Amino acid sequence: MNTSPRQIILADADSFFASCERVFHPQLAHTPLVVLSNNDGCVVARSAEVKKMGIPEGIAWFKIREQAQRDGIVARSSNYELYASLSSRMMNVMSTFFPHQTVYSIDECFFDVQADTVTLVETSTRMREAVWQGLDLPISIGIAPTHTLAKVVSHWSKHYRGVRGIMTWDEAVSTDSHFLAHVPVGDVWGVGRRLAPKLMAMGILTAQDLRDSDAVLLRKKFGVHIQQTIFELRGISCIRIDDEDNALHGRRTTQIMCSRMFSHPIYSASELRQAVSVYTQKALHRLTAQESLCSYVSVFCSTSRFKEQELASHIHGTVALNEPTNDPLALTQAACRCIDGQFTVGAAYVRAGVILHGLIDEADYQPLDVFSAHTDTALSDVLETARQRFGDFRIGVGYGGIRGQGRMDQDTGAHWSMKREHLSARATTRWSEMATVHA
Amino acid sequence: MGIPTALESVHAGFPSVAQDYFSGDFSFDTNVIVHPDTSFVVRVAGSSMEGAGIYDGDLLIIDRSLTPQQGDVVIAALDGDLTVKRLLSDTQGNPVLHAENPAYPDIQLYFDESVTLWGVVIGNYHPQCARVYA
Repeated sequence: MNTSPRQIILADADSFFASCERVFHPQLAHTPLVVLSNNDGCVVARSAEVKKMGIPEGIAWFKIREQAQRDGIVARSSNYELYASLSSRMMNVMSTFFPHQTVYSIDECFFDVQADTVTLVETSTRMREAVWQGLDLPISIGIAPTHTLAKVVSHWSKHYRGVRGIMTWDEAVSTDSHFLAHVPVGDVWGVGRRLAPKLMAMGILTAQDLRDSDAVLLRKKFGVHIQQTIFELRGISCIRIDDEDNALHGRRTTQIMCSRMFSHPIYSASELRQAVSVYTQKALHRLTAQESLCSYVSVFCSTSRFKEQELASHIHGTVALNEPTNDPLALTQAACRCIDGQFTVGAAYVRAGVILHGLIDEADYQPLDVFSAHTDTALSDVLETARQRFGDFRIGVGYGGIRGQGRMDQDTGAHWSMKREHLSARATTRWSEMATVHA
Repeated sequence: MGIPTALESVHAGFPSVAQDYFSGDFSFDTNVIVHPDTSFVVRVAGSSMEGAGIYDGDLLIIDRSLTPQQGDVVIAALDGDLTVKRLLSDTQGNPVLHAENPAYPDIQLYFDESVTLWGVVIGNYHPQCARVYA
């Protein structure tokens, strides 16, 4: 019997979007780099160099454009296809090192393991090297008795001590037994932007304050999530990571993921589509809750990488939607299209995930009203005939027929509406955009 | 005392039904690409590797999970560009990037910290009939 304590490993990529932009562009290795949101509106990801310059996340691009020019900051439009492709590869590589992987977002996953710390650190080190060598992506790892503490140590090692790599809870506490007193309460996973000021008004300023608070009292005031967070800070594992109600605590996000291990392996394409449909609708639930629309859907499905003897299959795809939407039908259809034709007969799929990205505020979106919500099939026949005769992007519904600037999506023409002046090549998902090497 | 051993292994029990199982035609890329998660396809521009059978416009398959060894054809990040060359060592044993075309000089790696190896080339695809892709 394994008597080692249960441990949670958090692995997350450092500045993931920025790191992805560097994979095929080594000249950007040490260049300050920002990734912009839809329409190149604001900064959604920053490289370490940009963080050091004090440029905050979320700042409008036009506000820093001049500084960017002066300081040599390179801007990229969000390249969702590239990020989803590299994310899927990264998760697959990591899944060979530990069982029980839970992909939590596009750039982070948890492992729920039972082993001594020395073994975990050793295996984590190899995992980190494999991701770095195999994909050029730097990751940080936190190892702790609970998800919340794993988040704390990973976050701490990255942001405060500048130490890249692996940090364990044991190590953190042995260095400083009041370690949690240095962590602002707002940085604790699960304490959202709305809750932090309320806690601070009660004198709860740090993670340590929160840990030592009256859990019952705070539950009465703020709900069950805060009690779970308090227990987790005390080292009592009680968050189930695959329960999406727990996962985000109502925080507004720029991307929504729903990913699960199946209770039993799936062998049929129709069942896999069902699972993907269900996860899409779970993700959609969160999308509507935060009043966003989504422009891209990515899906990944994979077999267990831990069982080497079995037939392996890892499929993923990204679909650009015709227009930002929260329409369940459109999103479900798009999600299923992501994996169409990729199913491997005989493979035992054990997990799937759906990512909704390219999120925009519903309130900010103004479709061409005259054409909206028109679902006449006769019209689509006419459009299809016209498309076949005259080619893509000549005619379409609403914005769909307008030729936009920049790179257009070959399938949907969907980038018409989005300003994406700084889009890098989709080097792993588009044949025509593969990287060039000089000989 | 020697124990006689059979030269071939003996299959015991019922043959597995799974043995005759197939799922359609074989796939070229899953047989060629051994580590799909860490492999990339890139296009060649230039003629410095013609001696290795790598021509302008060829496709290269890179497997980044492999650690570069002497003699491998590698991709190196050189002055910010990705470059394909053969990894060799000079007479002092220092690594060099060797062009497989006498018209191109070798590149010394010894003192140059700006050069990093990006991946190992496991094969190239050289089209022989351009009109089929036209």
